Amino acid sequence: MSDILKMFNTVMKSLFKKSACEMYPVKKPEFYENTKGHIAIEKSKCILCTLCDKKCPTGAIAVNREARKWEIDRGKCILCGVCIEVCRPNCLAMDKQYSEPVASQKVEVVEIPVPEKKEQK
Amino acid sequence: MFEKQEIVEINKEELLAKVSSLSEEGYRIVQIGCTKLSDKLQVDYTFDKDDKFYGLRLGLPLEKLELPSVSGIYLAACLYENEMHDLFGVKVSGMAIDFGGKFYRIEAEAPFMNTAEAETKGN
Amino acid sequence: MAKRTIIPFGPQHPVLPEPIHLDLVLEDETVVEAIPNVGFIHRGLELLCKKKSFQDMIFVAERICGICSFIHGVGYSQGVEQIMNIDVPERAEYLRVFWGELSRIHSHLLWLGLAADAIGFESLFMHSWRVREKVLNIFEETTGGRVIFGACKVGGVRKDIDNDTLKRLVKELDEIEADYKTLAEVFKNDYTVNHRWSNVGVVTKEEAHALGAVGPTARASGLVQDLRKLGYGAYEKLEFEPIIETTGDCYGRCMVRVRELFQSFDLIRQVVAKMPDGELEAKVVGFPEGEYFSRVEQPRGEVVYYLRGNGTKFLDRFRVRTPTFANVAPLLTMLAGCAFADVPAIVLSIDPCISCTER
Repeated sequence: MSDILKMFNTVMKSLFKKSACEMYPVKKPEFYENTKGHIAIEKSKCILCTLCDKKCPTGAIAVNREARKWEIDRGKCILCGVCIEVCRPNCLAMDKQYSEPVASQKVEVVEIPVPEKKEQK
Repeated sequence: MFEKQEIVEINKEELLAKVSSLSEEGYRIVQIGCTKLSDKLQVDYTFDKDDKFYGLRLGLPLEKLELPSVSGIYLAACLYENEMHDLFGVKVSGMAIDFGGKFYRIEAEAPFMNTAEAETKGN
Repeated sequence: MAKRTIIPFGPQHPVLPEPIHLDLVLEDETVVEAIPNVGFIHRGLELLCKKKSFQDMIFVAERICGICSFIHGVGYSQGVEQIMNIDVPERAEYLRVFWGELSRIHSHLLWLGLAADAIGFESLFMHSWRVREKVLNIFEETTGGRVIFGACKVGGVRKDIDNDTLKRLVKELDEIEADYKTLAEVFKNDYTVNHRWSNVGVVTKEEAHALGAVGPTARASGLVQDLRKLGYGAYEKLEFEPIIETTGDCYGRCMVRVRELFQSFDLIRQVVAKMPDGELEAKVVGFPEGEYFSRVEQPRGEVVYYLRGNGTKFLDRFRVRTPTFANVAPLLTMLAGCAFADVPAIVLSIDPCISCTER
């Protein structure tokens, strides 16, 4: 008889313990420090060096120097982080919130503002 | 740390005799694979015994891609030979189980030989 | 002569994690032979080596399979490092073993859950995957991804784990091991599990050797074959012995995996105790020229990479022979002569990873 009742202890414990599942979306998820979500750019620091465009393994990032635009196709981005490593002014970072599902594929375009000239002292 | 790997070059006629002698010594078959070079097709047979690596290599001319099957000695080889037939177009005669080109359900004929992506420089 | 019917198994089946098609020839309720048919997931990944540089190919290699992805990355990196004569620093090698053994733990726990589900024992399936969630949380904490990490690169690893975090993780793993011990008792001694799996799908030692079986499928039939004994990476400094069973049936294959889990916990403790300080990567200069067969031990068996470079940044040939491909031949032998109701349990017992098989 004891052969069949091997799971009995585990089942009884899980009846009375707290559930292993989280009440998402009522309870917000907690992310770790390293969690990969999406690539975010701080546009005031970008100098349009186009290194992220050259090093991206899937071709998700496209940089247009004349039009001052930085574009990313979130569908192609595999969150490898190579662009963050090569970015010279350190304006790219890994945000923890995952990108939302969309109904159609779109390329996200960010306009890089012209840097303001420093005041001469 | 990295193992020494012994690879021996042979001709197509010696293939069956060498594989028989390896099977009698107790080697197990690891894989059979092809690489397309600019002037020939290189076929690698890999064997292993007690974690020691041993490889046979032969070259086929691109116009005449034919090989005898070793599945009479090692039954598992027929799966690798069917894959060679589907992806590279090599005609292997006498396979134990012959799928007739339908092992992989793909549309193109011998894609690894014919498509533009398969171009490679020789050694 | 009894009447023969042909019944298709797959590609969609509740028990299969990935699509494979088998045509089963039946006489009454006994399977006489099985004819396989693959190719539903063939993506032609090997041809991508001509279009992506050898440093970008690591991302493709990781995505050949979702369950064993990190070890695919290690096998590829090792092959390129040997061709280019790069010396990987010691700390990077130990970290690769750390993540590799954690991958083995999560893969075996996933298989235990699926195997329990195949015989109908659903609550055991849920408990195995509940234990596996804690391992996935460790992955997310250290590398950022739960399934595909992006932690390995040619020349070393990309992320570090500091020594305090390592000690805390070992304590967490002790709790996970205690949790897992109760489940291991069920797999070993439960009456239903024993009855469904004993003497089902038997492969003798000579058949396993002649058909080229690898991994737990070979070790359950008595063949002593564990590629970690080759001593690649940091394995030559760690102490362990391959785990062997002699019965050769589904129960034997399950027991090999259950005991390998305990061995992996022990290996991780050895790694953390011996981890040296140092750099994480070696500089990569130039392009690969030459060829090498890189062999690594995955949770499912032996995987062989053939890499060939010609001096440009694109590799000439990238060929992968995965363990499930080598285990299909013993599978056909196991299925001949079995009862029709045992087919799902037997197909799952070789741990089929079809996306690896067809890349």
